[in-house]
Amino acid sequence: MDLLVSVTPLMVALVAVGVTIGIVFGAIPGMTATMAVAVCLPMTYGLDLDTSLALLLGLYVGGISGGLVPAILINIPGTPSSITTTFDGHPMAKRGEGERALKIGIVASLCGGLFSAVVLFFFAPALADLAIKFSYVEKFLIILFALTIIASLSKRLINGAVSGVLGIWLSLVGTYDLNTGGNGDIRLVPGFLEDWLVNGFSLLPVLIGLFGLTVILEEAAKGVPPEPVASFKLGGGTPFRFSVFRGHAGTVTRASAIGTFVGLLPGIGGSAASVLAYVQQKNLSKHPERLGTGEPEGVMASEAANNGLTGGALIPLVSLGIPGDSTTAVMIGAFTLQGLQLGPLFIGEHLEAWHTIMFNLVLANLVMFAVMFFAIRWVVKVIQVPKYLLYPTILMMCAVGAFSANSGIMFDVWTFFLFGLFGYFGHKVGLESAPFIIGFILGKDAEVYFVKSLESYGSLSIFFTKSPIAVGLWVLIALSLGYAFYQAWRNLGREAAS
Amino acid sequence: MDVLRITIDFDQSHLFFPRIVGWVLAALLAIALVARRREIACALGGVRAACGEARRSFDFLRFGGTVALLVAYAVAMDRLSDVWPNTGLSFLVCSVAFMAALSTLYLRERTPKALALAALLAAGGPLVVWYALARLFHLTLP
Repeated sequence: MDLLVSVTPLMVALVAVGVTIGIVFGAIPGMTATMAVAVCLPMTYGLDLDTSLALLLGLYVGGISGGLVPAILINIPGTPSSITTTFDGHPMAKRGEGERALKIGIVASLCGGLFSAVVLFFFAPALADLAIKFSYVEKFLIILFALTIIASLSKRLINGAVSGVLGIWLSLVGTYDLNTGGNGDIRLVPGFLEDWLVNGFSLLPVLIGLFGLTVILEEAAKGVPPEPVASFKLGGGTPFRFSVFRGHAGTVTRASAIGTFVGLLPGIGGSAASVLAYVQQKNLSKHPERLGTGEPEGVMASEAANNGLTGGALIPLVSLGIPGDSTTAVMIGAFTLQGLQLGPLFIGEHLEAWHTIMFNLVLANLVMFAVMFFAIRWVVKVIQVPKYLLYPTILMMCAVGAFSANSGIMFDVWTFFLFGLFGYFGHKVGLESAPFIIGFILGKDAEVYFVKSLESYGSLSIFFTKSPIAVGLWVLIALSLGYAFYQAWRNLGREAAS
Repeated sequence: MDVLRITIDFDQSHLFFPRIVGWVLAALLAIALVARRREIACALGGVRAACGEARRSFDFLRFGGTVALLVAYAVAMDRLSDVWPNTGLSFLVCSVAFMAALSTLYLRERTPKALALAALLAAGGPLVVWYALARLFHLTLP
């Protein structure tokens, strides 16, 4: 019953609003759940933590789920995580089973979301209990591990590594904070910008610029391509029945588990989750040759996995303070606004907020199911919302969000603008947003943990000898790097062969 | 003697970690340059063709227009906020103009219906946001 203590009607309404807006963002190709959360952050400035979380979790679940609509109907994944949904979803739509494919995807999404919520509920406190015993040494190694994973699963190892380290470097701009044991001196700031950058770049304008403006600049450079107007047929073929899931409980559970596990690893997007689950399904299917031709089990595996990611990505966020993906990285902004520090102590010290997260995550999945399942005929029209109306509205929200992030500082609007341009040109030279932003978020903590470890022990050897946990973390770091080099070597071989 | 022993000078401690990160970044960039030297050489060799191709598919008007309008939007909001301080009116006026201009820029076929929709949203959108944030939530707007 504790879970229901702090629930208010406003909270429930905000979950519904968040889910609906999230579905709109997810269903429009090129826009993502991360963008939905970044753009809507200003709406949370006037709310308390509980109601902010209701809105943001609704946006998150809606944004991830909405991606299946264009993936199935027009063969364009609305979000990267829906890429494998196109493989079987679109062939089904082409033979007149669009509504059936959508509803299979929606039910699988619900299962994935609820599965991951259960895992989150039991696993996050356990991980936090373990992490509470960590000293600065282990905390630094956890961050190092997170960064190596992010880099190793980037499109190109070296690009991911450069992006992550660049993110760390930019996070260090400004004063070395006295509150964290620093000496209060300013660094990495040109003299003429000292007044503005004394506290470094503010997180929210950076996030809004990188995930809001960058996308719109990319679209503008392409001439703002018109929204797809291809006609699509929803029904006509085999109607949807829940019996389609008979014999596929294993498929859905396995895919949900893969999604949740991938979400747990820091910085890895939903596309990795759905691709892994789809490949696994193909390996274990009784009819692997049929996958890719319009098999319901392909849609189930893909959608259960990408929604399984939602709860999984919240596990490291809540228990370690490390975001599981770029969307949860943006959510850190909401916690920062409320003055809350995520990490091992969060659940114990803010039990009510933890219960609110759990309640809202479950509710968001149920609302997502209700909205998408029963109103699918209206939801699909979202694909055709004109971009010339959408993008100016988003940019206005981004600008006001950046300005209000620190109670009205115009420099934050310039930061938003600067990082939007940085994201645009960065993508052109191969930089990746997810490793960059996670490096940016974790950079200052990494500095504190690293420097304090050395100040306390006076030797780099402490990072290798502090405890069995530290040794274990080095093993994980080595495995992660080994996997990364193996992948890079295989890719080189493939490139040479082609 | 412990070769891994390190002493951090407190007065210079603000530069200790940034220097390490800077060196790691420089090393990674150097590795990236070496690892991608063939691609870079190819890109430099075919730069004229590539630039020509990119130029053909790049929409200078809409990209440049977006950047210019954003700069004008920020500058205008900043200036007008001195005229109407702490009311959010600067945001409201500038957002209406910004949204109208950007919608028109992004429109591919400027039909009366599309222009009317754009004008309606440009007038109504900022008004709703201004009312919600400034009046209901009492947030500081430019």
